[in-house]
Amino acid sequence: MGGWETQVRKGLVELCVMAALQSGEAYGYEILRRLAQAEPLAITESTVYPVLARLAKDGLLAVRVAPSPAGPPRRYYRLTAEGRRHFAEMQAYWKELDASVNRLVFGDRP
Amino acid sequence: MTPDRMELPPEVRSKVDAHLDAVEQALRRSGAGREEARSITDDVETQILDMLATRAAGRTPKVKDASAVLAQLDPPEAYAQGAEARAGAPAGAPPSPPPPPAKPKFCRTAILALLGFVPVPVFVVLAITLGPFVARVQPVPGGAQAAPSVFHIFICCDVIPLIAIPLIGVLWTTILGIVAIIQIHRAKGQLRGMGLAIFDAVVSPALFLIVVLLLLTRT
Repeated sequence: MGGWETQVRKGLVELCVMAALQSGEAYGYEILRRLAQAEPLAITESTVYPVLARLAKDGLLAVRVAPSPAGPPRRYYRLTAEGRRHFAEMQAYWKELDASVNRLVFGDRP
Repeated sequence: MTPDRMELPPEVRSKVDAHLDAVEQALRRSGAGREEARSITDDVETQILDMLATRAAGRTPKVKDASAVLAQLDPPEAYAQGAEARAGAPAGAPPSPPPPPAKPKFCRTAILALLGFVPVPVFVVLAITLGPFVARVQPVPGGAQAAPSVFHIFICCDVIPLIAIPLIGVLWTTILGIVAIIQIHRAKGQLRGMGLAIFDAVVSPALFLIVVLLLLTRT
């Protein structure tokens, strides 16, 4: 079961990271803490930070560097206009996928 | 939640730096660019310092705090395993369809085998043309053997290679045909040309044998 769960989680990381940013900008560790609310996902920093870097590279996230009281400057991420558009598409697709998979897995039960 | 600015003791700093170096190395090994690896390690560093500040709760963090914090983090090797997340399709692009199955290639051995069959039609034509001359060198009734003329000897000398060459050719075709059949069978759909391979291995020697028998009967 472990391998299957890992694959499912991997596929959902991008969606979850963008979802964590829809409420506003956040720096890496803050995003991790937001994602920690979805406990079964068990998304850790070695997965999230590379995804953040890739999304920023693809122009879906904007990065603002601000001084941190704890040490090095923090990198604050927020969704760009393109990122928001992409996230809306992902949401719509996820809704459809969720409904279809639930129908398949649980039959016609509500 | 925001921790106050804190100074790290050198031994704590070096422990944190060692972890960050290992993360950066893992990222670089997995193909991440310098900039990308830098931005990821910056995020990791921010997290470590936040966790240290929370754990130390106002006091100066000690080595054991750093060890405890680092123990909660993913090991540096995990960043190398996350390479596929970085190498994912560009965001916004539609999900790529699965690659189409590779078109099976034609078995080259089957074609190569056919080359051996090329001399056979030439042999048939020449055998039909020269056959009557060879046939004349027959024992005459009464037991006496007619002395072969120079022309007959010349023709007979030509007939030997005329038979040998197609014979070797057909043998070549048959053997390579069998090899081709085995190759196509083992390729499990990746190679095609079974028809030609069967022709090479079975039909061509049978055809050759029929032609030889017909010619022998005729002469």
